[in-house]
Amino acid sequence: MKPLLGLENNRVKLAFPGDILSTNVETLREQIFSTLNSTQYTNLACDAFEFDFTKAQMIDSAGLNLVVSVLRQVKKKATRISALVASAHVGRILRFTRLDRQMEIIAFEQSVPA
Amino acid sequence: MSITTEPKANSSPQTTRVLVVDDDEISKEMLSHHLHQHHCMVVVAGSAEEAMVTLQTEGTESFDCLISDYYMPGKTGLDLLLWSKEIDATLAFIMITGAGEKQLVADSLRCGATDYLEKPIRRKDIGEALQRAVTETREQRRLAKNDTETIAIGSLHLGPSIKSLPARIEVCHRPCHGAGGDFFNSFRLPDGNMLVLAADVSGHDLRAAFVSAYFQGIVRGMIAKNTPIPEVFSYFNQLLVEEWCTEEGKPMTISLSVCAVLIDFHSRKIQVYNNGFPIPFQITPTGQSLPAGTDAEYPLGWFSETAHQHTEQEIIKDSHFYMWTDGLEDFACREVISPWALAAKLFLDRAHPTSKNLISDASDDIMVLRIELTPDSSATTRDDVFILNERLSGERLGDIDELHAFWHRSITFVLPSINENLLANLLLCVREGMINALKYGCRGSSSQTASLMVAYSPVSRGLRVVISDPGKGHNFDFEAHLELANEALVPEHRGLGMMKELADGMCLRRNGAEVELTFALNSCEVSTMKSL
Repeated sequence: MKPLLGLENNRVKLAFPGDILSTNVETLREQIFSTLNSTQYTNLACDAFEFDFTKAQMIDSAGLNLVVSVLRQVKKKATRISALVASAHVGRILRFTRLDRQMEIIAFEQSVPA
Repeated sequence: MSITTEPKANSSPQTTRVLVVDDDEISKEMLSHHLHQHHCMVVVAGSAEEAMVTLQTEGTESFDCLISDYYMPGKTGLDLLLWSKEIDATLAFIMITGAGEKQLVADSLRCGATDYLEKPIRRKDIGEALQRAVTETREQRRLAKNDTETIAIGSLHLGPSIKSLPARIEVCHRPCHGAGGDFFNSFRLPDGNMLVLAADVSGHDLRAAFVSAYFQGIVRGMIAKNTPIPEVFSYFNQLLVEEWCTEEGKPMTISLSVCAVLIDFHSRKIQVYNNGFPIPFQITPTGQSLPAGTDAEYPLGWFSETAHQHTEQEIIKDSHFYMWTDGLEDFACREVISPWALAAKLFLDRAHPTSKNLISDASDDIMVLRIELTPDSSATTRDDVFILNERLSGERLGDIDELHAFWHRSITFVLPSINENLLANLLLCVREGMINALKYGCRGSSSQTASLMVAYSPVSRGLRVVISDPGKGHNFDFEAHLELANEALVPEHRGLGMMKELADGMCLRRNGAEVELTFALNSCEVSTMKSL
């Protein structure tokens, strides 16, 4: 599954398709950076960027390093950066590495059917 | 397609139906001819796969015996044997091997074959093997239909009260049948030392129960007369192979896998004598696993000449000795969990009747023993159970996702209601630690191994992880690096920092080549997304 990088509500959204782990991180890196480095992205007039981690239950250190690499790149252009997180475990990873100071962490709560 | 051929004449009132499997047309024809001479109805198949289809379509119960060649294109005779025992353990199986192929014979008998025939096959040999096999099938089917006729010898402890022994022994025994199968025994010796026997007798009928009880009596009597264990084993092997016969004068074809553990409290040594029993382990409080042996020789009753494996170990303070039967390993393998996890679950659930449901569909008896080797121990870890205890070579680094799934299954098998955030924290730490150990400590080499131990303490309701590798460790100041990495968004080297953050406690030893992590089971139970 590819990470989905697209424009939504006037912000660029990077949706990770699942866990971000040492075994898939290089594939994800290649896919993400090929888009981030494309003229399609660099010419885009949009300063908002959202990481969507709602499908990720686990991020290991290699995955975290990828997130940091992407964040460094995104910060060159975007001024409003947020992260949508569903797993408390993933939220804890982002918090302890102080990435919550670099982007707004938003808790995603799935609606419960009545 | 299978082909049925009729016996030539003089069919017995209860016709014997045999499935013959061989890819060689001439051998198949010869064997069928011999079987017709013994008034059998023969169905033939040219491969293991074809035999499987035949058994499924016609039903295993329509056959009295399965005779298969070992070497065939595609699946081997051993594959067919394992498959057939899985779907119908009562159907006797005779394996055909080349002359002198002792290892194939051993493998086949270990996997449940009733008998074997060596090529070239003589009519006389077939007759004897066939008669034993058919009798075995019919007897096993009779017992399966009327299990209440048997007696619960298998689950009896025929020794003195366990409480009166000098070391604490805990036993979990889940017999599948009322008789035979796994058994254990323990004796206090005149010098104050202790002998523990764990064994698995083939079969689950009254004959197996008799062998089990007779063996225990012989051991007790001979040990009381100071007979060395190897002599006892050798004597009993002679009984099984040479003296005990059926009413027709045929050998009993019954075997006994047995392990005797002599615990010498004075010299603080353990002597282990093993014939065909899974290798037992001494486990230190830090989870170091010391296998008592490497190859357990053959069970008693297979061959006239027998050799046991003898191993001597020093008793390590606060350590335990674990023994289990192959039924435990088979069931764990089927469930794709660690055998340690299954043993842990059995010990933890002993008081709960639901634990029987857990393994109710096991195809073999399951027995595990845990012996506390230093009875005067006051260690806080004495009640801990191990969920994982494994050694992995460096080349397994590429299997990390598969290993991760295995660890996940094993932990949730023992602790099904574990908080999902705690589980994620624990698994991530194990993953990070093992990646470091396999990649750097073992350098990805197949000749270097790292160890992983995960233990659960029912007393403190905590989990303890110890990861150890053979490397020299490191001088990396991960805490200082983490500060810098977090401030300057450095995209590397966060593994140890994550482990320290996610665990409730972390201790590095041997310069970081060994790491111990602790997790309190209640620490994450209230965490919710609101805490973000």
